[in-house]
Amino acid sequence: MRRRSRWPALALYAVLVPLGMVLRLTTDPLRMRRRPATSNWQPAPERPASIDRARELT
Amino acid sequence: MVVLGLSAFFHDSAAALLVDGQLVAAAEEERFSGRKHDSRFPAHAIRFCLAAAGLEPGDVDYAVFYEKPAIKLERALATALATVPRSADPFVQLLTRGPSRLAVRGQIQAATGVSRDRVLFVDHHLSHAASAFFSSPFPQAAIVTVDGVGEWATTSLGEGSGGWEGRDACRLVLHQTMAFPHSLGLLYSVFTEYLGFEVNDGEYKVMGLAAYGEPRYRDELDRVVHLYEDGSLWLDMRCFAYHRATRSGFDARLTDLLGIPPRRRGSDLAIGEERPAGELDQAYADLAATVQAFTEDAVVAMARRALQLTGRRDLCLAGGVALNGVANNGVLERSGVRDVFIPPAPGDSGAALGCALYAQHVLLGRPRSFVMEHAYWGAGYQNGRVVEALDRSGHAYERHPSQAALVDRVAGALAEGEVVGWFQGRFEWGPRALGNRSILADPRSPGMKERINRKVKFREVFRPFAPAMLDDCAPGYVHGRGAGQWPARFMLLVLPLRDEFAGEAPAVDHFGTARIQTVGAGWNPLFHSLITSFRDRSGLGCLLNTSFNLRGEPIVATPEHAISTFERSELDLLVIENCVVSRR
Repeated sequence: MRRRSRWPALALYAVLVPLGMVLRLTTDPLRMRRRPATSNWQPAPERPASIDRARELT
Repeated sequence: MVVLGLSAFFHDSAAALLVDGQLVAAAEEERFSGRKHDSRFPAHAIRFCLAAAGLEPGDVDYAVFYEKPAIKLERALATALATVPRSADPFVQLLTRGPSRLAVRGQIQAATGVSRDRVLFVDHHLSHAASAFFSSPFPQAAIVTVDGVGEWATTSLGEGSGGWEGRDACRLVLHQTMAFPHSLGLLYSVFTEYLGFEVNDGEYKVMGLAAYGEPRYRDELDRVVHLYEDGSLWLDMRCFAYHRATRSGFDARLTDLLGIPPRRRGSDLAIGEERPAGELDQAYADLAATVQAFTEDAVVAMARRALQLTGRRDLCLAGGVALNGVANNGVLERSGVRDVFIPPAPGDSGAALGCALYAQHVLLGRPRSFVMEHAYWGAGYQNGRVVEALDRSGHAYERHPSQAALVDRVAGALAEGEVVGWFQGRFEWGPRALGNRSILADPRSPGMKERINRKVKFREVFRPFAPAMLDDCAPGYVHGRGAGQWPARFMLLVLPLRDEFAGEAPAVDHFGTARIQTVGAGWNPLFHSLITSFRDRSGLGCLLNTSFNLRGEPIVATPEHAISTFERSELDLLVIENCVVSRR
């Protein structure tokens, strides 16, 4: 089987590195930088329990 | 109403089929493919489930997938961006595998024949939660789900409600979650890797190894993982790498902190052998004990938090961490819970059933009508197929015309010290062999543990074995209230043994504890008869029970696989349905 080239992905990665660096400097989406003071629980995302939403991939 | 639940693409892919709210069939793909923890699309398991119900692909009303693939990709992308420039490998993996994950709807349609608008996607932790709550006997309960990671959530606290016969609408809500990368499941996996075992396979070896050590590394662990009083965790990700690398889950800083090198996979581990453990091997056992003790404390705190948050007294547990029987008993004894339910497949395979149950009861509004009384939902084989396989193998065999004669023959062999491969009925749902695909032996024999580990299963000597005990004998064999709890019938509780029993059954005594299975006539009458017959001969209502497989292979599914396993091991007796093959 022919191996898929990694170059397109690596090229895209090179483009996205600056974007990632900016995000890292301005946000902390993974809550890695600072330990929360009293708890690391977060409210569960409010999403409707509906069949329409269940049809979506998101 | 026919609802098919599916899990795939991480580990232990599976399918589970509900017909009018009743579970008809459920199986992991590995049992058919022969590839342990097979994560590929569960095409074989789907075919099996449909055939078991006498259905064709076009007969399925809804097919349900156990997670939201686009949210999972979003998490992978956000993580890659948040960890640049060190996230090149996961980023490449995301771009190469991501598109195919989003194409899962088409794959499901092709395999099940359902139309596009009848393929549903349920959030991963809702699937876990539903697998426990809607299989349980509880009308209301608090729910804790703990695994590696789903979409974003790694742990969730919630509650379920809804009775049978449509009295109340079924409801299942998650109140709080802990988000990636802060994960108890991934923390346990990191140390599984650190101790030289395979991730998503060797976690229970860590639990077994822990009994040989002392939690001497707790101060070091507390420095990198903060456990809050409310059960949430925060990991210092500078010491871990699973969020930014594909090869290893930990950073060199963790090694510096612990002061012992990671154990090389496959290297000799002199624990549980006659020779004394070396200093380094003892350190590994101590590290395992530390992680295990931490896990117990965390799961107990999470359970307490869920009970407090919901005001409920009963608790459902699910997610891969719910396979940790020592932590489960901690919940029972220390969290203030009244009763606990854990399904026989609490991990990702079980989420296939969970998403189907969620669709059935919450999305489609159908009332509950099912309780997971037993775990025997896999494939079974007619006697004709068994005889055919044995004839082809060339082995001489006896056929026993009655169940009583079969039980008498096998119980006699067990009492004489023979090790038996026992293959009956439909195979089990989940990772435990519960008496339908089991290797059985006399637990009274002091050398039996080493013999089975070395010559039958070819695995590490320190690995313990479980006792399968008659449900009415169990309270006399173990301490605490676990023997009467549901998880005991699915071998999901490690309980302290009473001294007298531990002395009588040394082959299943693991430092005064054992991961017990209770066996009742109501949920496995044949296995119950066998243990009863053994008790009549030996005075002990218990057998050593371990999964019928060899190291690195899935538990046997077919008669042919059972025969092949018999041929490649030193089992004394093979029993398939009413046929008995003896090596002696």
